[in-house]
Amino acid sequence: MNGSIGFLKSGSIGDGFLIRLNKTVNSESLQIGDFIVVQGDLYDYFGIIEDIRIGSSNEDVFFNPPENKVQRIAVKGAITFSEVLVTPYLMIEKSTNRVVTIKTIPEHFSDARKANERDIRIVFGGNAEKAFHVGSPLTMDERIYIDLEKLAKRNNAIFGITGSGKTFLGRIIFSGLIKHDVASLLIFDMHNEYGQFAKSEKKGKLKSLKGLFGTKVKVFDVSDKNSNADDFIKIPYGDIAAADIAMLSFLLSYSQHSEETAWIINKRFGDKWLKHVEELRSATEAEIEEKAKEWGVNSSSLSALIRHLDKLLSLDFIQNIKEDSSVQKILRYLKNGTSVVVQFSGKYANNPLAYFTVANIITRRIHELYASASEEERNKRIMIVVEEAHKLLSSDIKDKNIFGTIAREMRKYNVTLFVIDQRPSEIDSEVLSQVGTRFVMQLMDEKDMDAVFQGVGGGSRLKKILRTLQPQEVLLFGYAVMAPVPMRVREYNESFFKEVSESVSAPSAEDADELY
Amino acid sequence: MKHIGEVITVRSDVLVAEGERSALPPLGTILKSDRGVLCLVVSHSIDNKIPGRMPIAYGKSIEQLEREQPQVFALMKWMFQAIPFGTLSEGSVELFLNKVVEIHTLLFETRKEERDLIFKELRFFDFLFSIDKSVFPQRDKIIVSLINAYLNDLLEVKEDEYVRIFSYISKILRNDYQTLKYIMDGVSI
Ligand SMILES: Nc1ncnc2c1ncn2[C@@H]1O[C@H](COP(=O)(O)OP(=O)(O)OP(=O)(O)O)[C@@H](O)[C@H]1O
Ligand SMILES: [Mg+2]
Repeated sequence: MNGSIGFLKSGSIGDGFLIRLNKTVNSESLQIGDFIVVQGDLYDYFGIIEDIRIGSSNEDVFFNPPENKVQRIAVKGAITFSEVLVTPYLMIEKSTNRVVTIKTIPEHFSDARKANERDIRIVFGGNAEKAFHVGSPLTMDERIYIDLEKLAKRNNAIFGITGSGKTFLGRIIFSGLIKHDVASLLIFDMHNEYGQFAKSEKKGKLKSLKGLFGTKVKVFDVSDKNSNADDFIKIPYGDIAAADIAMLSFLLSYSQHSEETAWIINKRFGDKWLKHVEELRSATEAEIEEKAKEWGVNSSSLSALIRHLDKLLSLDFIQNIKEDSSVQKILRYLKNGTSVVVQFSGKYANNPLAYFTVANIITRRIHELYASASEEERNKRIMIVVEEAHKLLSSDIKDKNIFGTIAREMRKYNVTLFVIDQRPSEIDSEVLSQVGTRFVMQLMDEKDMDAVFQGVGGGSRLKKILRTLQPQEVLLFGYAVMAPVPMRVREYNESFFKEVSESVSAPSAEDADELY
Repeated sequence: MKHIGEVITVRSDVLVAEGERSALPPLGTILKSDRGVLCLVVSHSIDNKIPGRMPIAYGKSIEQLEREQPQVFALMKWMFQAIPFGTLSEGSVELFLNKVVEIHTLLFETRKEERDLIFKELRFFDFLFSIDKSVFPQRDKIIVSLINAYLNDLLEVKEDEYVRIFSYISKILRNDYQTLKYIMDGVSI
């Protein structure tokens, strides 16, 4: 039969379909993660190879094994055999090509084959209006699309170890979201990879989002060293609350005492509190002691607080100014459908304190302003992208900062999170459960693997697939896709640039030719 | 064409045929009758022509005896047993016996093309392995020589035929790997 690899031997919806391979099919021609179709009478059953095994029906064969290749081939099928275990996910109704989740199973001996282009097109073909090509099946060149509208409705995450390709995948998805006007992105760009240029380990300098989309993307920087920046970020003292600082305690070596002291001062002076503390940076012991008495705090705790805040107050984009004009500008852009990339150049490159302070405070301000805007004004969806998000979303601090709130309330204000992280196990499990679509790339740590599948039906099976992933490959599952998809992320290269920077509505060259 | 033997006893599962001295068909030979019945030679025997006569020992070599007492041989008949398994008609093989084999039917050699036709039918191997080994202990050797003879005559890729035949035999013998291995090892390509 055409492309048949074997037949359905046994199975169930819950345990998967066991396919006995034809003797002419070499088990090595199949891989974990391959898409398989089992052909029933009414439906084609679409699934993924979860395991491959070899077995024998007569153990005698091992006492006197076949001597050569022909003998081995001869006994295969009757005495030795190969089987693949396929987890079924979807059914394609043959008469209509309608795709539905798995609800029944085909009969014994139904023919199994590798999914072909047509199947892939039906299942991942992006019939959606805003479908975007993100990759291909691991062992095929067919295109896999995702529905960007669906994706943007929930929180999303990319997980993977360093070098697995998270940033490149992220940039591909963001390109789609920008090109199709699905959401305004606010990207906190820790390593300066989403602005004008991207760095590639293999190819050196490449175009990045601003390079591709021009005025649809604005770059803000905390440092004025960035010549590609459209604007610069200034954070007024008044925008920083004691709560923000508590959240940064892992970077400020902040103690419980300092935290309490900050709370008291914040309470007493409102948004002027940091200014008051700042004024004490050059104060003498005696002056501090006097202030402590006046404010009703312990004087050694106050000294400690001043010391701990020193690192923060030395960030020169935190200034004694009234208005947070950069936040207002960012918000205006986002409302307009322009995406904003916040970068950290010069001395703030790879500076976690600068990164988390800015990400936290800007996000909180944007969220406040957006949440208080009328529903009409909120019609643009905002997607906030943070890297190393586990630092902001760990169990101990997720309730103390805005990211935990956004994760929970994503749909209320039309603001969602897009998290990029290496350590999913360190993200609070409740927050993880709010992640609609997960892009899981190579992971090494068992805890991290377990974390990404927490609460996911059939997680232990998907874990087998995850273990086989190479760099630049991803296992994608959740809200935006009908079935889990192991895939090779498409190349981020010239042809990608060409495709996304073509204007959506402009006529193509061929159309133009026909017109004249 | 000269016949190889003549059927002198018919039982449902075995024919006994009389042949000629020193011209008995080897075990594993496939013969056909003039009416197309196919049978496989599975054993040989020699018996007296005169019922009740008991041969005696002479203590001489065969050659000497032939010279000095030729009547001793003239009083004997040379026989072989063959199991009928199908019929041949107009270039096709039916692995099913739908004709009674008449007594005194003459048996002839089959041609290569006819044997090829038989080997195309994998059910032929079902017949071979249905032969009772306790009655015909040479069965497996017969099968080995039969397959060897067939493969030897082939011009095309022997490996493919080997795989085709043994894939089928593996199914028949899936619970008797020892026999399967014996036969596979005996067949050379
Ligand atoms: N889709 C892709 N197209 C082209 N090259 C890619 C792609 N994905 C990954 N690469 C290559 O792999 C390298 C590592 O990818 P990337 O920077 O995205 O890893 P990462 O997971 O973000 O790592 P880190 O956690 O260290 O930031 C890139 O520099 C690039 O050379
Ligand atoms: Mg990265």
